[in-house]
Amino acid sequence: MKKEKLKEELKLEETKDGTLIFQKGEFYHVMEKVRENFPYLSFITAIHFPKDKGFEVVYAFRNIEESEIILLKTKIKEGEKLSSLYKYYKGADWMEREIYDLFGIEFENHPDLRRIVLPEDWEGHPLRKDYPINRAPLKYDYRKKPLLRREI
Amino acid sequence: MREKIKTFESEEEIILNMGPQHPSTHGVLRIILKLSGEKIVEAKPDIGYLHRGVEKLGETVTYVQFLPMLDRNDYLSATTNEFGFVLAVEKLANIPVPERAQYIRVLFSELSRLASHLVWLGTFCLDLGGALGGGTSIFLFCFREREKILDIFEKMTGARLHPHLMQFGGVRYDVYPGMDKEVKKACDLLEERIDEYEDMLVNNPVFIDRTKGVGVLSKEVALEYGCSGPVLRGSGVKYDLRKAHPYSSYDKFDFEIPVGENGDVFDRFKVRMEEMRQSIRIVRQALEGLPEGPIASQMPVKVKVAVKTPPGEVYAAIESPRGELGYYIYSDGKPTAYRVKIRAPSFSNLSVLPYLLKGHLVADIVAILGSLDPVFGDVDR
Repeated sequence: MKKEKLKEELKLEETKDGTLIFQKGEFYHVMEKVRENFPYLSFITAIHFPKDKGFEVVYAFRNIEESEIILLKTKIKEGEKLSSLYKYYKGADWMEREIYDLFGIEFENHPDLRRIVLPEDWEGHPLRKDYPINRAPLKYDYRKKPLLRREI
Repeated sequence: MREKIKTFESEEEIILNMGPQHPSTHGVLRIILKLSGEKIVEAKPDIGYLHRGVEKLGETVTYVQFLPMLDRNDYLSATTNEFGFVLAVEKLANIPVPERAQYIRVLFSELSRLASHLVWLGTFCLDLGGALGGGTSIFLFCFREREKILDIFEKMTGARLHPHLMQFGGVRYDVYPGMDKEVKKACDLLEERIDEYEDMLVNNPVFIDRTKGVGVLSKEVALEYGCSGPVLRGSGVKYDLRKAHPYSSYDKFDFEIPVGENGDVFDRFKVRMEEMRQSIRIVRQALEGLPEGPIASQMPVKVKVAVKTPPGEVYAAIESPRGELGYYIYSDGKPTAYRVKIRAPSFSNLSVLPYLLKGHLVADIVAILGSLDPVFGDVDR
């Protein structure tokens, strides 16, 4: 099992659901080893914890030959930057842009970090827990620009 | 013939905007192209025109309420969307699934794979142009065949496109009397017709010219970008989650994984055609081996908070017609998920588009895009 090997080599903690936890500072050290053993990036995502004022960023990798999957995660504080995975996996490009768009986490050394699914001038990051969801819909009137939002 | 085409190249680069309202972008995709004559120097896809915030919705409604919404994600194969989500929640909450329900799930997800691939074949050929059997004919043929499958869905669940077949712990509907005959009849017809269409296309020199050697995606690049499904298998990687991580009794079925060699548009076409034949095989086996017993381990849910999960996280993935469709759920013990991440296959498959388009002609864009088979409900979420 490559996962056990990796866990021992890097001395990582494991949660009860089998996700490995690594420190943000060891990013390149960990990812280099992961790249050797798991050459396929499945997805990257984040979870917002407003109480801790921070995020968890979750990575999932696969090893195609041995049909193995591994989940890794790390904690970062609000406003902190995380290194980009683009160096190791090209597919990280869009995935990190999506996280930047919806969570507002910035990635260092990303080639083209801009919003991907929302318009460039969108305010806020919708997948954060403190993003208001009970607002009135935007009402567009072509005579009155910019867009007006009716308060409720 | 391709070599004979004289292309016009110029020093000056122009910028061309393709989409979002373009008939062959399969929904709403905008590509900003930088052209030198007819050659593409750079392509920048712009997505998000269909972003509905499904993941945010998943955090605000309960699991039971969220399930039917997922049908709308990848609207061409609705059942597979539910399939992944129920697997994830069942894994997290330890809900058992009876064997009969597993077989019905397999049966209907393979039927929806057939329906989805038929839409792909029709629209792909429509994009490639009128030379293929006279314009829209193959498109209409495919939709005619798909109708047979949708009729089965309608009789079974009452809905054609968004069936809401699954529930946590099983399926909501049992097979109706006389279904096996209908499905077998549809399978026989489809098998015959798929051969017919493939003969019609691979013997057409225009089709071969427009697909062979176009949009070559090597094995390494496909893995690097996280492509999955027929796009990955077309590049020669034998990887299918149904075989690699068998879920829902897939290990009891006998089928093969088709792979391509060169990774061009033609290979992806071949892989999908072969996959349809394999799906028919699975459907037949599922009908024959359908075990007796209950269809769900729980009563049909009428309360929206009926399903609760313990705190924890889970990732479950299935092989949808487009590739690895996975759900990552982070739960804090409430009937609503704290965070749902949908790993959409079309999203990763589409991210390879800028790489593929570089150096091709403008006319090849629709062929390459069609061969990736993105569904924009799935890409934008």
